[in-house]
Amino acid sequence: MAHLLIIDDDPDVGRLLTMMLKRAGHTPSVCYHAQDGLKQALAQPPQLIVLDLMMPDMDGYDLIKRLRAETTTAHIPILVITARGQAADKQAALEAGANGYLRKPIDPKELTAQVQELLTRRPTGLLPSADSTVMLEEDPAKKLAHLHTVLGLRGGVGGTTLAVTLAGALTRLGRRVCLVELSPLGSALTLHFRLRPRQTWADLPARPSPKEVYQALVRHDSGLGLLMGPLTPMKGGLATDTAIAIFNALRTIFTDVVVDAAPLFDPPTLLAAQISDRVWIPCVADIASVHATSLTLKALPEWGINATPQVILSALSADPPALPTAALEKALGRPPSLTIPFDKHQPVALAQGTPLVFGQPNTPLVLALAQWLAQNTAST
Amino acid sequence: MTDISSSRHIAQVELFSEAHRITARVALGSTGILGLLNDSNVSLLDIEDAYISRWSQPARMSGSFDLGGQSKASLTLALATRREEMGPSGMLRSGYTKPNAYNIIAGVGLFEIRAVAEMPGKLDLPALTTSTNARFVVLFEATVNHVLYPDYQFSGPALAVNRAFITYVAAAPKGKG
Repeated sequence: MAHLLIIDDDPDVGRLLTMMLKRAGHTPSVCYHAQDGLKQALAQPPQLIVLDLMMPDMDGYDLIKRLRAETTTAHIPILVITARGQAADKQAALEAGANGYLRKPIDPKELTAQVQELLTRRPTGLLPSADSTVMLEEDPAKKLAHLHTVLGLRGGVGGTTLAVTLAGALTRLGRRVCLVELSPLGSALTLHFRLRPRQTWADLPARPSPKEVYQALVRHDSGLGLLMGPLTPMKGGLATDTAIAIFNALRTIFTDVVVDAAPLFDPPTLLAAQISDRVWIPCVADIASVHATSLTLKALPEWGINATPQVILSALSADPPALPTAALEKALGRPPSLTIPFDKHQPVALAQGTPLVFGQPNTPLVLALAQWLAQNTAST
Repeated sequence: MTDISSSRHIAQVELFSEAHRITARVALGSTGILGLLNDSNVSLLDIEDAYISRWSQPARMSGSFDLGGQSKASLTLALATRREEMGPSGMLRSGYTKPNAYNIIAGVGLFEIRAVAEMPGKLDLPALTTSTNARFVVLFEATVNHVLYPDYQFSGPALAVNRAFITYVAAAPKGKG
């Protein structure tokens, strides 16, 4: 049973749709004006909106665009019901952001089938609302998000760049991704995205609700969700209870959660790594980094981290590596999962606040990671 | 203008003039849409809940009205949602004869049409264009393009065509009908 909102200026059609949807077990409410419908959808976001295209106070296409522009309604499936059934009408409705299209006169079976199909279809590319979390948690068939933790005991080796590129590459693959910054040492994501969030996880209560977690997210234009760390260094860091509530909420909303961990094994980092499907360890070819990576690899099983570690070897400059490949592999006891060549575009992208993965997706860094992901998507 | 009675059958119809596409509802009598269009005693077709689009953006509404009239003389085409709403079969083709279906093409004002003409015996093009005094004739399984916006195609099971606007009509070339 789902809460549906019908927006149609024709009272007869409104009553008819209400009757049909009630019979199908849903709880519909009706608005007879587009403006009222918009207000109600924002005040009490329904699970699905059924709307007419031809309404005197606001064009249905404009209404769809307004609904799609609001964070609270952007993810809600929209079923258009209209007397105009030509190909041009259908195309225009879908382009405006509708998810389904039915032509009047309405066949009750077709209506209930479409509504059911849209309710069970997971939205893509858009951030869902916190309210949908409750709905998803009730459904045990829904899979939790894949969790990726970018982890290393040494900073300055491109960990945040790797996390940003990984999150962006997954987003470009059509996944719904959230990037979480765990470091309490001052946000690096503000630099990468040139964003100043209204809220970070430091502003959350000790045990935030899914809605509170959702409201703390920043939505990037690509659809990527960002939960940023404190803008300035803070004492202590993220409490374990808060971290649990955050991961519980995000894993039911998104298909992938990428965690940019701090270079220390504090409780939230351990928690993230323990529940991760994959741990990514950034490394560069110098003795200090290889030593830290080697220690990290040894520590993982001891701390109950069973996820497959992926060592990502990055070149941070055009200079030849300080450590030959053979020596590096011997020290690590394995070859790196992926070697990313030096990308001269990365410093510029950082200065401009536009990650390469979104601004210049054909650069070496992005291509290397995207290619690896494409080859390993099944297990990602 | 007569008020549209709710006790009569209401049909959705697409009205194409050279400037606008109007989607509206009409109250049908026993003679269907064609009967209303060919009623020579009334020059306006009563329509309600009309939504108007310009041909430059035929899916976008540029205006609407609750109750109004469409001039039959300036109406080029009327596209029905269902074939039976166009009118009873006796009106759409003559007598008790078995009709033959012919694929035809036609230019009607600013519209290009591909459709099926049904008539007894051989394809008789003058019968389509001039035979009776009726203003509109019916074609079936029609697709319509506006010549200025040919990317948009409209289709329907029955199409009433204003004969005054017909510029050419022909059997569709074989294999292209």
